[in-house]
Amino acid sequence: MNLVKADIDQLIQQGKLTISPLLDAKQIGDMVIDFRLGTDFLVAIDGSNPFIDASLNNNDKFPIKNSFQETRRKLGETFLFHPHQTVLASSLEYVKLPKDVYVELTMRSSYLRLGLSLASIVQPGYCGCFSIELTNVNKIPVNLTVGAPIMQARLFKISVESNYFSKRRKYMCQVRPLISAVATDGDFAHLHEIWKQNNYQT
Amino acid sequence: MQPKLLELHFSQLQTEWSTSKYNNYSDDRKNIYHAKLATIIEGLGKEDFATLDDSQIQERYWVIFFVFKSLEFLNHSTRSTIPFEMVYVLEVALKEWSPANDYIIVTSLTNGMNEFSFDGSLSFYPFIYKYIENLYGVYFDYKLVQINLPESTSRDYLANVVLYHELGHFIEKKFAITRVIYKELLAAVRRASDPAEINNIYRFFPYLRLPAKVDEFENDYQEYNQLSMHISEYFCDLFASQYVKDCSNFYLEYVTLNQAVESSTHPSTINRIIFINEYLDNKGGFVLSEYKRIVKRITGMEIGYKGKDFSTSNFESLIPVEVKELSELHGLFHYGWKVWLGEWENIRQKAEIQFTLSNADVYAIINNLIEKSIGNFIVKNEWELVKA
Repeated sequence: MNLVKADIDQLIQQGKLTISPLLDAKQIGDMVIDFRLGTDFLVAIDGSNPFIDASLNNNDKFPIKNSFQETRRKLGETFLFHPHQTVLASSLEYVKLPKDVYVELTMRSSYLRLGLSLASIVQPGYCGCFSIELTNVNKIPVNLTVGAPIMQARLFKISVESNYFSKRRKYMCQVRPLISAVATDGDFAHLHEIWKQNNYQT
Repeated sequence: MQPKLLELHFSQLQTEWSTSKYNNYSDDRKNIYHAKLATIIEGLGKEDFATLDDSQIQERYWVIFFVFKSLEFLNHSTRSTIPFEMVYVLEVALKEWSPANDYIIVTSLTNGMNEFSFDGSLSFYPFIYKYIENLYGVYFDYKLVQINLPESTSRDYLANVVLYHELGHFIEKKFAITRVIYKELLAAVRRASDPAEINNIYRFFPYLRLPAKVDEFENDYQEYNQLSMHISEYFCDLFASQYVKDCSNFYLEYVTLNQAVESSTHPSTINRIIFINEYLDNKGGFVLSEYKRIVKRITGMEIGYKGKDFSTSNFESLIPVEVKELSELHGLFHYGWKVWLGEWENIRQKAEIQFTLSNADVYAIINNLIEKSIGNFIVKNEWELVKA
């Protein structure tokens, strides 16, 4: 069930949904909540690594963090977003979702029209700033303002509760974008073992 | 000094400036300061050092030192590098003691693990400012309060309680507090009129039991002699505890391995912790009352808790604290430490976490939530200010 403004207001009043800071009550619309661009960025750069390694099969390990550079802005400052660049950012708002509500996060239409895309699902019970992975598919750079409402969230209620912390999470209460922890995915170890077996590696 | 050596130093500065001149700051006061450095460098570049006499060369030496030192800190205080949540909170404390808005806190991120320190070279060398004004017509409306902190812990809000102590060094030097306490304590030793008084002094400055030491300190006041430095350290501990209570003791205890013996620069950690705990428990003796009396006389400020406690379990529920007033910002550190030293099981239960929390989990939770609580306060303040 898609939650509407009255439902969302009620969840906030009951303390079941946290959005902090909510700078303007008008961010909560009839069907969606607008979320603002946060202050911290991780920008993909051409570093010394030949590639980003999303596997365990190579003996030479290249830290993913070498392929990203951290930068910060304050509210109202701008961030120049170059064509085909990957940028990790986060929402300005820190969110704690109820255990029976999940979020679909997309760019606001005004920003989609500039060539920026985003599509993400946030699980019930999540807490932290929304992590967003942005790509500028336009041919020209776009200058984004920190604090501008660039995303919108649709909240959906599900029939069963789900505990986000039923298992260990890679990212807890994150307040800024973090480097991908892809290498810690459980399946990698298993896939690596299969690869070793097939390649006679001991 | 040979003019060629000055030219070498200036060449180094020009090389540094070739990248530093593009620094971006989020604080317009730094932009103003930066523009003045550009004027000085331009002025230096027009001079023929070979024609200068010794005293003129020495003046340029100090001017180049000043610009270099400024850049050392400004380069780590750009909008991307400065830990601005921490600096914001320190500036709140600074403004209580120095409301004129003529100082900017800047940070230099060091490689050393526990390299927290205050560097007063740009705050308290008036002769350099005089040289700069006379030679290049540049007057600085703002001076820099230079604080060094380790890069690795620049966003560690448990460790950074120590920075209140470092800010205390600036306040102590600005008001020349140590010198007055120094004289008053030595006078009390000489008087020796009250055994309780004298024993209290010996407790925190044990070497004053030696008459020869008392003579030495009396006859030769030095800013960096043992007594001066110990008095200064106690003041900075006291200053910090006004904002973060006993939190800086926790970090101090770890860093110094709870050292039982004083060094030439620092009193024993045990004594420092006793001094602060007695203050917090309202049990202080003569030395503490002298600190309070003298600080009040010199600065007009009462020594007392300037933070604000709040009752919350937000961190345990994994959400930031909604800070309502400036004094609560300081209270965040105490709350963070309370959670760190407390039972982590409380977090697990409150947040319904079904796995065992590691120290890395709790470390991330506390630091992230303190940073976000401060950040939210800054953002809301700026938003409301413009709306109003």
